[in-house]
Amino acid sequence: MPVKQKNAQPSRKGKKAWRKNIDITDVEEHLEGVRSEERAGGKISERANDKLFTLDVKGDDRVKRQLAKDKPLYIDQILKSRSAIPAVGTRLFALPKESAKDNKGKESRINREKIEKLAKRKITQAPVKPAKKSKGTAYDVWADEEPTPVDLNPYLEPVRKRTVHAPSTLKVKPAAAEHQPAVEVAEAGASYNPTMEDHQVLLRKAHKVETDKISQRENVNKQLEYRKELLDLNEEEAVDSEVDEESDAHSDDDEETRKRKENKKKTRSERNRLKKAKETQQLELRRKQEKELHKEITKLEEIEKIVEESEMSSLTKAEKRKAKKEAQEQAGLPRLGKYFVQKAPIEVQLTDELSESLRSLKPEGNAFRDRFVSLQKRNIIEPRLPVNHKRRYRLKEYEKHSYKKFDRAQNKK
Amino acid sequence: MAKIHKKGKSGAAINYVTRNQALKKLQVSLADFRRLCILKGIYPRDPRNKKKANKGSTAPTTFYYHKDIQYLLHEPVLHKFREYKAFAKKLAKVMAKGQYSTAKSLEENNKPVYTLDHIVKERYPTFVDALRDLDDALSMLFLFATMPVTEKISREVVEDCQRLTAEFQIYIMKSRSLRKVFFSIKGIYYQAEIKGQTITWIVPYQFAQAVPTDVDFRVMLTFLEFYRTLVGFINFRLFSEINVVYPPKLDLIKYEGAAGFNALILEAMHRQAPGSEKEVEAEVAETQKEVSAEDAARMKASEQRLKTLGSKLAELQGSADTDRPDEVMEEETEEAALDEFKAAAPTNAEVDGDDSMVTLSQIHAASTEVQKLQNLFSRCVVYLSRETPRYALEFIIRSFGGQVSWDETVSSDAPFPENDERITHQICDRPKQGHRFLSRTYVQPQWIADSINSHNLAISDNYAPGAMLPPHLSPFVEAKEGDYVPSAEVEEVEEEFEGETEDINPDDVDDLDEEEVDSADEDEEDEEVTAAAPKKVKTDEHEAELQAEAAGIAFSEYEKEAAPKKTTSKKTAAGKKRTAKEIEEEEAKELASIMMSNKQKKLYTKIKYSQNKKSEEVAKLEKKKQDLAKAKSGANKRSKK
Repeated sequence: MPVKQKNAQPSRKGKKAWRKNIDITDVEEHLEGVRSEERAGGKISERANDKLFTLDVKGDDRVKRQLAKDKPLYIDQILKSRSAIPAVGTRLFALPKESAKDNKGKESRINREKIEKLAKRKITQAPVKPAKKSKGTAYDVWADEEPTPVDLNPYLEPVRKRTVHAPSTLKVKPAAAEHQPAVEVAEAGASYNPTMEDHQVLLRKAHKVETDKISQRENVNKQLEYRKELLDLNEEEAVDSEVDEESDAHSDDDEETRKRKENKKKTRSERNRLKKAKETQQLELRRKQEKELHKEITKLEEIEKIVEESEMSSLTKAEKRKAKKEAQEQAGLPRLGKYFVQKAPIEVQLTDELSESLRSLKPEGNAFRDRFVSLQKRNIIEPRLPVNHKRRYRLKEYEKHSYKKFDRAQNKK
Repeated sequence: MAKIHKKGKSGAAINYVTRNQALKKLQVSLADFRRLCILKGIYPRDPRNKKKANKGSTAPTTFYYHKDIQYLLHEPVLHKFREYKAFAKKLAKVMAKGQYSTAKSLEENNKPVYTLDHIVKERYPTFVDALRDLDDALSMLFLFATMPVTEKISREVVEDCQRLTAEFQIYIMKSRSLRKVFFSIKGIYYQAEIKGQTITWIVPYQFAQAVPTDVDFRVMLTFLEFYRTLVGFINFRLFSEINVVYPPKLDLIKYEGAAGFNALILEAMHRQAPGSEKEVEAEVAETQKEVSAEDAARMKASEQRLKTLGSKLAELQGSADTDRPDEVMEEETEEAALDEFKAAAPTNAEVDGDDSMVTLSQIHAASTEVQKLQNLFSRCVVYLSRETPRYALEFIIRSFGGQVSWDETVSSDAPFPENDERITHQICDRPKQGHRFLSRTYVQPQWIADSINSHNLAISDNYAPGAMLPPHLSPFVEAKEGDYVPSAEVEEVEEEFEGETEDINPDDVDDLDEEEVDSADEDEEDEEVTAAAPKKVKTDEHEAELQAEAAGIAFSEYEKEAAPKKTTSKKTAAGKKRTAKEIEEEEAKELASIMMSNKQKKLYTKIKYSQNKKSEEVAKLEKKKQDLAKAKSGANKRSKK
């Protein structure tokens, strides 16, 4: 359905309609202009010329640069463009304006004296903040603290400084930090000029670490790869066995169906006999159970012993478990938090690397890493991995406007 | 009915907090939290049951004690961290506006600075506690002192570390408290004894440290920050104990000339009024109480050492600056001599031979042993050739009472030149020497470490330049019972050697040839004695055999009886009482073995087997050594003829 168009022509009937529908946009525009001028500091037509315009008497090439430099911050510009018309106050009546001239003679005597005193006082030095000078470490921290002098007022309770007591947990060091030495001295084999035996011992140790690593890797690979035994199996054989199984299953089914067909209805005498047999069987069973119970009662002591033993064994097991856990804690937990503790490699020089003299010695290992790993091993700090900051989105490249212009200018040339 | 316990209201559930919970509670960033934990000594914990501690979750997280975190809320350093954050914001704003002068004034006046003094006091309530934890701190400081300045390690940090380590080394040298030195492939291990505490640290070889990439620098620098404060306080205490003003001033000219710890100017502390001196003594007495009874003996010894230090220091010309305070000490040495204990008669404990009791004579022996070690190089004047590690060797030699000089090209301010006649030893590490002075012995650096570790001056011929060096043994390996200790045999010879050096006046050293002749003569005498001894033993054995035969004992039985006696032939000579005791012991052993279960018996035999094997090996090595010595002396004789 087509929408009816509204009448473009407003009504002109009567004075009311004339007033209502008269076009006053030009008047409103003018007034708005005047108001905006007022907001920005008053009517332009009423303002003096020198406030509106400046005469550049001496041209300066630096002006442009200076202007750019003095350009206020954008935020300051926004704040500056507030209306020049004062905001509507919340007070109903304006306060009486104080003019300095009126009040000059009316200052009270006391105030005047104060002001005079202030004006006369000698300013010897600017107030200096107490210097933040630390004593450094050139004093004895462990010396007994001097008791602060207390002025004893008999009417007041002495003011005591409240101290926060450290919890007892603060003094509990991790077991590893307590039991592992802070500086682990290298083994005798790590001497720069070791004896043959010591060196061999250390070499063997380092060798074992490496072989363990290799065997671990091999184990993982073995588990990951397809089993060889399965490959060797012949496909035909597999098919044969399947067929055999199927045929066996068929034969079983046939026998069962045959048995079912042979079922007949029992006679009463047969049923009675069966009932009797069942009863006697149950009686027998009960008797047997009673006998067993009797036997067990006589065996009670033995059973108690067995139970006790099993309990003991579980207790010792628990103890062993606890001891193991404690030993692990003392040696340093392998994992604290999210990551595993780094293992320090065994530093060793091969026989041909050993130096003849101290001068030609090539130091092994890194003391920096040693310290860091030691801290982790003693559970003093948690192990972490270095975080490499990744950009979530790829950087977008585009040409800036100035470059575009520059390129165009170059092309024109 | 028993009271119903709500889940999660007691036990692990409230004793532990996870790291994230801690961060939320403290309102700090993770980095700040880490720093705070390191500074305050708050460690991550491992709850027995993680499920209970983390609201049923078993995800791997780090836990802390709830009370520790609660206590951190009161930490002034935490407040400083917050203030710093606000300050950093202000500074960034001003800098963005380009108001550099305001920024400067902000930096000067408003930058929050925190100190760690109270934390040091809290973590180590006494000085001895702090000494106990010094290993880590020293190793870290020595490490950073050798590091190059990079964008991560500032120059200030490195210089501060160098200063602190130099100060500590000065104390070690003055108090002569170094005990062990070990040149390993990683670095040089030192062990010192201060106030009865053994302190071990490692110093890496110079110019050898690369900065690894996988080490968290922030963590290391935070540790270093704390350790710098700690070692600073410890140094102050140690310096005041040897009466030297702390901090020592730095001689810039010497410092520029790479003088190391010689660049520090030591000043004697002013003597206090007699009244206050008593106070100091009282303080010392208090600290003594803290240390256990065993340590008290050591302390006394060290005090004596400190008293006698004056006279020794007076000898040293190189360190003339510090001799002044010790002049007063010299007078006290006489008094100290009077105090020395003299065991007139063996006490009961000694007769019993009880190991657990420490007798007076044992303490005395230990203290004299220590004194001997401290003066090991007191008669040595050592010159270091330029290829040797100067700082390490100077430190080692001077802490055992030696005088040291070095090549001018290594660093300036050498106390005496190479051609000085007083020099007794020159340390060199090149196979050939350009010019050799006949008046001195040339040795390799290992000679110093080996001498210290064996507590005697080692035979210098073995360490001649270009010679095959004897192996450098680790002094940190503690020999168990029955282990073969290689240096045990050498000792007698070494003591002879030391006796010789003591006779010699360093000023007028005779020709070396004469000495050699003397020592060779003595060797001969020694050999005669050792050759005579086995003969005697053999004749004794023969007599015993004859007696047994007369008594009607079968030879095989006799052998069985004699076998255990042979091994302890020395002991049997002591008397009949001893043997009766031994027999008793053996019987007891047999009885015990009968009473053992099968499992225990097997274990026992296993242990016995391994022990036997070890002793066999030791015997073999000892025999080898004897043979070698014999061969050597034989060769000497032949060459003489």
